Amino acid sequence: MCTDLCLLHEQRHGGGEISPDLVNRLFRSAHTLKGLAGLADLGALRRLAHRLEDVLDGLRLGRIPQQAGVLGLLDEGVAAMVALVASLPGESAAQDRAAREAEALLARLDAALEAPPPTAGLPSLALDATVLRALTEYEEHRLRESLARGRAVVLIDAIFDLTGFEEGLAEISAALREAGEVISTLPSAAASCEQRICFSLLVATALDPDLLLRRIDQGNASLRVVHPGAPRPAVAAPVGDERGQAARADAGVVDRDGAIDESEPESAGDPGARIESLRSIGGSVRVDIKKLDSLMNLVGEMATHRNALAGIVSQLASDPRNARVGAELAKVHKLIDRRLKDLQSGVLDVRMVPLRQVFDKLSRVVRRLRVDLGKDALLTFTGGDTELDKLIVEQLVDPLVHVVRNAFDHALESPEERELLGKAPIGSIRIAAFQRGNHVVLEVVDDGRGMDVEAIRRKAVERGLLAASVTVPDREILDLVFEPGLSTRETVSETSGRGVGMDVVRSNLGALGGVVEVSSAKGAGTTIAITLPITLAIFQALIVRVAEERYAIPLASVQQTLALDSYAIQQTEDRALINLRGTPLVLHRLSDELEVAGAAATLQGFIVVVSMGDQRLGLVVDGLVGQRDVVIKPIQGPFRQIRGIAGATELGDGAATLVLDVTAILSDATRRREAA
Amino acid sequence: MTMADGASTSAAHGRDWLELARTAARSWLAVPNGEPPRELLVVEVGGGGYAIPIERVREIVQPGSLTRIPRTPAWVVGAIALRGDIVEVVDLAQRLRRDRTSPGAASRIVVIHAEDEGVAGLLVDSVTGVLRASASDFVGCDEGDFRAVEEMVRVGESFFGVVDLDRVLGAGHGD
Repeated sequence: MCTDLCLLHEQRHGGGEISPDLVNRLFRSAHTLKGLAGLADLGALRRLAHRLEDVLDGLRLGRIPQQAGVLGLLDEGVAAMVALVASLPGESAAQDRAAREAEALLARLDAALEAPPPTAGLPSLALDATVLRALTEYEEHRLRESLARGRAVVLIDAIFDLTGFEEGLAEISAALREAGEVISTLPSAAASCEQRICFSLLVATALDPDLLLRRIDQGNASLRVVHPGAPRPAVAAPVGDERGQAARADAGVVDRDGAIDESEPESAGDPGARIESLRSIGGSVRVDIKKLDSLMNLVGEMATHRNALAGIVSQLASDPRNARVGAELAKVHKLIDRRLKDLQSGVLDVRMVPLRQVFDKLSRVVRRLRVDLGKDALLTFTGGDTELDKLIVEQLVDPLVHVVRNAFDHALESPEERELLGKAPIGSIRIAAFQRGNHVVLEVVDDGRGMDVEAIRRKAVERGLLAASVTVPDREILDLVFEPGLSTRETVSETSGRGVGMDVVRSNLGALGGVVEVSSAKGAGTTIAITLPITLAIFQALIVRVAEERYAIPLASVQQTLALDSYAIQQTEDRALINLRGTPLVLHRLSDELEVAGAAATLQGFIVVVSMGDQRLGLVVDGLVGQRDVVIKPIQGPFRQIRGIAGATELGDGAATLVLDVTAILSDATRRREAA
Repeated sequence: MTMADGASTSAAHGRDWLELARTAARSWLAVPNGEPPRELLVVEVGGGGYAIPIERVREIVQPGSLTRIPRTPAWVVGAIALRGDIVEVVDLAQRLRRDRTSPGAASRIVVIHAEDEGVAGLLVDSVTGVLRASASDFVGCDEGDFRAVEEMVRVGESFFGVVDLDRVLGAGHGD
């Protein structure tokens, strides 16, 4: 509910229209809360939820105008409910106080409800009286609202076969929602002939009505303009956007004969686009992540068996006596393989949650900081729809909160300082998330004072982290802020600045396979970039051989593989290098890293170029076995945390194969190099 | 075990069963407060017999292929894949200061419920059987440098060291 309220404010501040679906969602939340409070016999909470529900219902039906005052009341209502719930286990004094505040709020909510409803009759529409009569109060309000906003209103008649009309209707509704708002779906007044059923969809849209039909792309639909709407500017929507949406609609149609992905996320960017029809009340299920994990395990085991099956298939294929059976089996194997992949991505998809959740938390943190520190900052988010594994998102919150706090507290100057520097008086913190290959990148960018490389260098020398005599590139100096105990901040505040933090941030994110990098220019601001894998549950891995042993390297961290003998190795006293397209690549024998006995003494075989962030290393292995889908498992037993080993997996041969922790191997290699 | 042997021939059935009943009755009587006897799995390790509390045994498997794990002490002989789980295997012989076990046809991995929810494997030379013992059959002892065996169980004339699993599987003990 808090999330939705935040969105509500955003939309209002954005000057735009508040999405009706958002209000609907809030209304349903209040309704649910009321029911729960009733069940739990919490009178004050129930009364409050009830009144909020009334207010939201009023907003929903247009009986109450959408004014800042009303929205503020909603805010307070939610806060009061939180206070009520929080006071529950506490002493009665706190409970009484919360209850009193709630009662006071009730009175104000009542006043809001009594405000005279703004009524306006429906303008004359080319609409059947039967259709008009069938509209509910809410639908009528939406119709009125759409007309008031100058949208075109059209009536689309669509004919479906009796069998499977629900699917067809869902498809057409989904396509229409991308273009506008489906106000009402009614079984048509037109006589439905045998085995066919006809629906009328009342749609409001800001687009040209003619475009709509193309959107639906179905021969079975016809369109009638009920109200042309306000004259539109020549270009109704940005062309690029238009194309993108059309492409999406097309994709939806193509999906029909393939797997229909019901859970496909709605169009990005606009939160209001995440449309739920009223029918889908309670259409989502809360699932314990452990259940998903066990599903994932099952899928993983099936993948293992599939690998075994693949072995049998290739055996049969090589035996001419069994060629026919082999071919049959190969066909079945291929089918199983495909379905298994669908299943896998389906289960993975369920684990994915949008980063918006984290963003909401961050804006709450910053709101609190504004009060605590008496300082302001403009917080902007982009890419809230970027999805990540639920487990990663959970682990991400604390480090990210820390980074944002740091930016707010340390990086941003006071308004006076900023004005002296010719900057805007209020600093900005921009948080951007986007997908890059198998990773998600999160950037926290501030326009504050930036990091003082010299101060960090001095501090590092003071702490003995750096020899005073050596010259180290600025980038590496900046990297030192991730060392424990290095804070250049003179004063320690409640919020941050104890010098613990950035090191914890890096190690916490490292445990997730993430990498943190910092770049900064003095006076111009700091960018902290966090790169995370999208999921931990399953990934593609490169299987390599070292002597008689096999290891899995996550493909996401493999840049490329090279045959060693086509490169000239430059051997210096303590390291081997090759020249890879003009840049030196340090080689490192995996057998040394993993203490493999009986590995070849000379450098031979293949180079696997692994990278994380901007660190790169060439791992020398004896052979490349292939590429596999891997479900990583923790190692059980006395030694669970083994440096350099992220876990293990089973590849279908009944044996355990260790999965390398490339982040750890890279940072160890770098450290050793620096120590040398 | 006795039960299974007795059931194999019908002629011997009556007599063996009677004998079993008598033994059972005796073992119950031997415990003053009626505390039920404990069951222990008997294994052979480096030529000696040891006992493992059976309630900690999850299953017994044949050692398939063991995957070496780097950066662990020598007594961790590797990891096995057990129906999708990856389980470290500890050489019980090395933990008991005996010679390293070289897996043979009779070798087994006893999969143990560890202290937390996880499991761990113990490599042994062979599994010889299950014994029941009442409280009076246990005597204290001090074998092994880190007290991996703190008590022995007496069965007739022979003694078996009872393995303290948490010590044997603890990463913090020994090298």
